[in-house]
Amino acid sequence: MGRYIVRRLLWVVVLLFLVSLITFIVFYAFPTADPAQLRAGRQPNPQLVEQIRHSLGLDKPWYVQYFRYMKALVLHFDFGRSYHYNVPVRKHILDAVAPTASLVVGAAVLWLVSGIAVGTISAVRRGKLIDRLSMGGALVAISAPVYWLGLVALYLFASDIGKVHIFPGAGSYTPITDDPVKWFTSLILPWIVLAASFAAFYARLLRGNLIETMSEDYIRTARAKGLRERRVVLRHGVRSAITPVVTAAGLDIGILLGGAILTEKVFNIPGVGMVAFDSIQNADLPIIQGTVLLGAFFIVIANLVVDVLYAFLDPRVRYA
Amino acid sequence: MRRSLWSIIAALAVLALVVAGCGGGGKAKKGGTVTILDTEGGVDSLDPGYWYYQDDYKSLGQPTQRWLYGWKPNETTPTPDLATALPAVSNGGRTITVKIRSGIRYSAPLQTRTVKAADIKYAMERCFLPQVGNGYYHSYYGDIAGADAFTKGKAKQISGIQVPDATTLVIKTTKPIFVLTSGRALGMPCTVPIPKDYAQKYDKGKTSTYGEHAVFTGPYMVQNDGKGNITGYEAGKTLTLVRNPKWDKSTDFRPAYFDRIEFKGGFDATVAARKTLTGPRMLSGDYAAPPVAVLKSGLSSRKSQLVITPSGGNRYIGLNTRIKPLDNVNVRRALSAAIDRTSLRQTRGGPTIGTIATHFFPPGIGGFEEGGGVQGPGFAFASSPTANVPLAQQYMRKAGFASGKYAGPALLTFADDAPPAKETAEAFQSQVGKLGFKLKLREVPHATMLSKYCEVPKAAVAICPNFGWGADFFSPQSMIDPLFNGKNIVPTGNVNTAQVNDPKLNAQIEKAKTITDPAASAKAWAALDKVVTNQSYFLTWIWDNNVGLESKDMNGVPSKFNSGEWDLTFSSFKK
Amino acid sequence: MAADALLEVRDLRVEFDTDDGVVHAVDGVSYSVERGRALGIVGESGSGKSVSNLTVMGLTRFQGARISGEVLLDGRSLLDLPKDEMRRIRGNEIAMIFQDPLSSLHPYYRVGWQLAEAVLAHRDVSRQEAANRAVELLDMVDIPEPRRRAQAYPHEFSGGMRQRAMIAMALANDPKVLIADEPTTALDVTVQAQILELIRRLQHELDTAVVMITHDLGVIAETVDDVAVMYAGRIVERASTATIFRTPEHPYTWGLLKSIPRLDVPRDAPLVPIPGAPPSLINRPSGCHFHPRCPYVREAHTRTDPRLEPVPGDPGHSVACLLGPETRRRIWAELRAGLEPDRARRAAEAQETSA
Repeated sequence: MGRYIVRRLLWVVVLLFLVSLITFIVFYAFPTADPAQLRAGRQPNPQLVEQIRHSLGLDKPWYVQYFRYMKALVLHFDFGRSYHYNVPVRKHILDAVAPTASLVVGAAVLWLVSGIAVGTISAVRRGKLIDRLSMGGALVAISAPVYWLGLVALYLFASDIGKVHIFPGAGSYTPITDDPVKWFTSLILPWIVLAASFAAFYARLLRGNLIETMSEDYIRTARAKGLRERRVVLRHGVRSAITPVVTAAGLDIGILLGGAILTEKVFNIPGVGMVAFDSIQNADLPIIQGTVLLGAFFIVIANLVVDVLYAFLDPRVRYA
Repeated sequence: MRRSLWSIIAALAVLALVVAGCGGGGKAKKGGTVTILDTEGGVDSLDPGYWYYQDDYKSLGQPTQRWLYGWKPNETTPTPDLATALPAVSNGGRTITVKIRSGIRYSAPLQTRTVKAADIKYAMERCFLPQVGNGYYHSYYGDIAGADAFTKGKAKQISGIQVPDATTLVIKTTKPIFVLTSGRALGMPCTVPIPKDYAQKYDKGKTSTYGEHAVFTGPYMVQNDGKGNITGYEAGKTLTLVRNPKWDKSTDFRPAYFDRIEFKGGFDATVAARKTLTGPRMLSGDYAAPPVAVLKSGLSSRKSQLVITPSGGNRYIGLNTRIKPLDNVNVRRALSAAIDRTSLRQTRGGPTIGTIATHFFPPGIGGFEEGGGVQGPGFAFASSPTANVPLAQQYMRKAGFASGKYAGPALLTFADDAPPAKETAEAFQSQVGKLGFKLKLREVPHATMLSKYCEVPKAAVAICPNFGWGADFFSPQSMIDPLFNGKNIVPTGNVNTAQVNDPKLNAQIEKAKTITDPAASAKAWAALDKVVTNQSYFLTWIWDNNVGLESKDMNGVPSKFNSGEWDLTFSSFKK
Repeated sequence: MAADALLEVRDLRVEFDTDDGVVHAVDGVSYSVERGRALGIVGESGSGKSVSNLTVMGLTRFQGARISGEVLLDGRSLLDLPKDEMRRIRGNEIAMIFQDPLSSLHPYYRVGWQLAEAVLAHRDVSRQEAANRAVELLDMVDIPEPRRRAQAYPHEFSGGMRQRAMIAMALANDPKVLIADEPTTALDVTVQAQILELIRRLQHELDTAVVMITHDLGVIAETVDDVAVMYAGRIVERASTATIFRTPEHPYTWGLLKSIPRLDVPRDAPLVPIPGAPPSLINRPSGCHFHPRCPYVREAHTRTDPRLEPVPGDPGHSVACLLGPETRRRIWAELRAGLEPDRARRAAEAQETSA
C-alpha cells in the first residue's frame, strides 16, 4: 500500500505538470483578451502597452514564458503576480481556500447525512408514499439550477433582503477564526443550497444501490440469523450500498474544493470559485493558472484518497 | 434686468443643489461605518499612478489622498487641494507654476514627513513608467518638456518638471496646453504625492508593488499596520478605509463625515442592489445603474433612495468607416435615422438611465451648450427619439441604394454576451434589419469584445453596438481627441474605432487643444462635436445617467467629476 | 405421524403478485420433521421447495407474499407470530444454510464477526464471549486454526470452508431445526461429500431436525430419513428414503431417478433427463401439472387434478398420480430393467391389454 501511494503521488506531479502545460497552451491558442492591454487601462498609448508586454514577458514565446513560470513555481513556490490586481497570486488564491473548504465540507456533511437518510428510507419504503415524495423532491432538487436556488433562498430567508428574516444574507461569510458562531450561521443557507442537488443525487444513488443490495444473498443470511431489521438494513445493506456513494463523495468534494463557483458567487463567499470566476473575467493568466492548478491538485488528490479509502471500505480490494 | 434676474434664480438653484449635495438640507451626521457592495472586483489597484476608473477615484482617490487639485461634488472646475491656488501661467502658456501647502503630513510610517513639491514631481514621473501602467500620462503630460527623453530612457528625470523649492512646482511645456494651464489635468491622481526615497524600491521590477506599501494624505487611509504594509485590502474581496490620524481637517475642503468605509466585492448585482435598498448603512458600488428589474421596482416603491445624476458620458454604436458600405456618410446617416433610440434605452431600464442624445457631447462637457444643448445642432437623422425609416431610406437612396434598402453582405458585429448590453445589441440588429442590413452578430465577454475585436483594427469589425465614452474632468478634448484624431489609430487598444483619419479634422483638433481661453476653447470643441455628429461616425443614442442606490438612513452625495459616482468624503448618514 | 413432530407444515400456500400475474409458488404443501430426523425435499428449481422453507423461516414476508396454511414449531404456530417474535425464532430455533456460501456471507465483514453477530442476536453475552463462541463454532465445523481464521474475510476462504462457516453460523444458537437449502450445489464434488458428512454428524451430535432441500436425489440418499418430492408447488410423492429409491410411484420421481447415475442399476442403463421445462407457476397446466412432460400421460389427466393419496399396501408412502397402481408398478419394473420411458410405456400398456 505504501509503495502504491508513493507511485500515485508521482503521477500526481506528472499530472499537475500536464495540466499546467495545457492551461498555458489553451490560453495562448484561444486567448480571451490581451492581458497587457487590460493592465494598461483605458486609451493607453501603444508604446505603454508594448512596454508592459515586455516587462511582463508576454512578448516571449509561450514556451519561454511557461518555463519561467514553472521555474519560479518549482524553485520558490511562487505563482507570480496578478496582471489585473498586481498582487501576489499565491496569497490571493490560498486565502480563498479556507472559505471554499468551509462551504464544501459543511455542505458535504449535510448532503451525505440527508442523502443517505432519505435514500435509505426510500429504498426500505420502496413504492410507498414517502418514497414517491422523496424521489419526486429529489428530481426537483437535481434539476433546480444552483444560482436560481441561491437567489430564491436569499429572497425568502436572508436577514437583509428576505421575506422572513432568518439567516444572514449574501456576503456575510466570516472566517471561523474570527467568530465561529457567525461562521456557522452565515454558511447555513449556502450549505443548504450547495447540498440540495448533491443530496438529491446521493439519495437516488443510494436508493438504487440499496434496493439492489437488499436482494443480495447475504441480506437473506442476515435476516435468517434473526437480526433486527434495522440492523439488517444499516449494518449489512447500507454498509455495502454506501461504497459507491463514498467514492462519488470523495470525487465531488475534490472537484468542489477547486471552487464552487455558482454558490460562492450568489452568496458572495470569497472562495476559490470566486477567484477563478474573477480571473477569467479579467483574463488574469497567473490567477487562472493558479486556480486551475489548485483545482487539479484537489481532484487528483481526491482520486487518490478515494482509491485508498476504497481499500478500507472493501476488504476485497488490494493495491500493490 | 431680465438677465440678472435669471442669473439670481440660477445662482439660487445652484446653491440649493450644493446644499442638498452637502447633506439633504444640512442634515449630515458625523461618524459611522458605511458599507459599499461591489459586484466585481472593485478597485483595480492600490497604486495612485494606476487609478483611472470611477471606482479607483471613488474608493481610493478621493477618500485616501490629496491631489494638487480636487473636485467638489457639484463643480465642473477644479478646487486647489494640495495646491494653494489655480496654476499661475506665464511664458505664453508654456510655464505653469503651482504653489503647494506646507505642513501636509503623510500617514505612518512617514508620519514625521510633510509633502514636498519633489514628491509630486516623482509621482508624475513614475506615471510614465511601464511598471505603473498609467493610462493617461501621454494624453495630458506628453507635451511636458523632456517627457520624450524620459520615456526613451535618455534622461533620469523629466526636465520640464522642476522644484525650485519645497513648496513650488514648475511645469514647462513645449506648447500651451489648456488642460494643464486650467489645472484640470493636474486634478488627476498622478499628482498624489509619493516620496521618491520611500517608493523607489517598490517601483523596481516588472510591476510596481508600491500600492501594497502606500502612504496616505487624505482623510482616510487603507487599513495598515503602521509599518508600511496594507492590511485592509484583499483584491476583489474587501477594502477597508479608516480615518487617517495625520489628516488635518482645517486644511481640506472635504468634510469627511464617515469614520470608516468598508467595501465588499463579489456580489451578484441583483442581490447587492436589493441589499442596499432594504438594508441600513449602505451605498451602491461598482455598477453605474442597478439591474433593470431592481431599477423598475426601486422606481415604483423606493424612489427617494435612487440618486440619479448625469454621468458626463454617452453610449454609442460604433461604425467602422473603413468597411463598406459604412465608408459612405449617407449610409451612416441612414443608420442613425433608422435606430430607435427610445427602445434601445428601454433595454437598459428606460428614461432613468439617460437622456436621448441629439449629438455626441453629453451635458456637462465644455462645449455642450455651445453645440446646441439638449436640442442639439439640428441634424434630423441624429435627433429622432424613435426610428425615422422614411428619412433613413432617403439617405440610402442618396448613398446609391435606389430601393432605399441595403442589399450587400452581412456586417461583422461584436457585442457583449451579458445583459443589458446584449439586449441593446439585439434590439439594434432588428432595427437596422428594416433597412435591409444583416449583421453577423457575435456575442463575447466585454473584455474580449474590446481588447480582441472592437479595439483591434486588424479584426475588421464593422459594427460595435456596446460602446460608451466618458470625459476626464469635463474636458471636451478627452471626448474628441482619442476617438477621432487619426494619429490615435493604433494596432491594439484602438479607441478611434471609426478609424477616422481626416487631415482637416486632425488639424482642427490639434488647434483646439492649444486654445487656452475657456470660452474660445468651448466654441472650438463644440464645432468639432458638430462635425463628428454630422459625419455620424458613431450612432450616439443616450447621454448616460448614473443611478446610485442608498439605504434609507444614508445621505449619498454624487460627484459630478467622477461620472456621478458617490463622493464618499461628502456623503454621510442622515441626522 | 405428527404426534411428536418438531416442525409441522400444514397445507401451506404461498402466492406472489407480479406484473405478469399471480405466482402460485407453494400450493398446499404439508410435511413434518421429528427431532433428530432428516427430511429431504427434492425438486427442480421453481418447484416451490425453497420458497416453502423460506416461508417457514418467515423470510418470504419481506417479499410481500400472501401466505396461508399452518407452520407449527413444537406446536406453536409461526405464521401469525408478530414480526419480532418470529425474528427471535429465526437463527435461534430454526436456522438455515444457503446454496452459495460466497454470496451468502457479507463480503465486507470478517467471518468471526459474522458468526459472533449471530450469537449476539439471540444471546445476552459480551462481545468477547461471542467472539470466543465464534472460534469454538469454527472449530466444531473442522476449520483448522479457527482463531486465526476468524479474522479472515469470506473471500480469503475456500468454497468448502465458507460453507463450513455458514453451517457454523447456522448452528451458533443450537437450533432445533436446521434447513439446508442446496448446501452443496455450488461446491466441488469432493467437498460436497465432506459437507454432507459434516451435516449428518452434527445432526446426530446435536440432535437437530434437518430439512435438506435439493434437486439432486444423490445428495439425499445418504443423508435423510424421509423424502418429499415437489413439483410445481406441490408434493407429488412422499416416502422414506429407502422406499423412494426402491419403489418410487410417481413418473416425476422416476424421471429424477433415471437422470442420476446409480450403483444399483446396470451400468449401461442410459441416463435419461426429464424432457421439457418446469411449468410456469402463473399459468399452471390444467389437470395434473406434470402432464405436459409425463411420458405416460393419458387424455383424462389433463382434466383431473390428482391428490396426494396413500399407496395401497405401503404405509407411509403417498403419491399424487392418476395412473392406476398396477400400471405404475409395471412401468417402474420396465424402467428398472433399463428400458427407456416410451418403450417402458409401451411394454406396460401391452401388459395391461393382455391382462
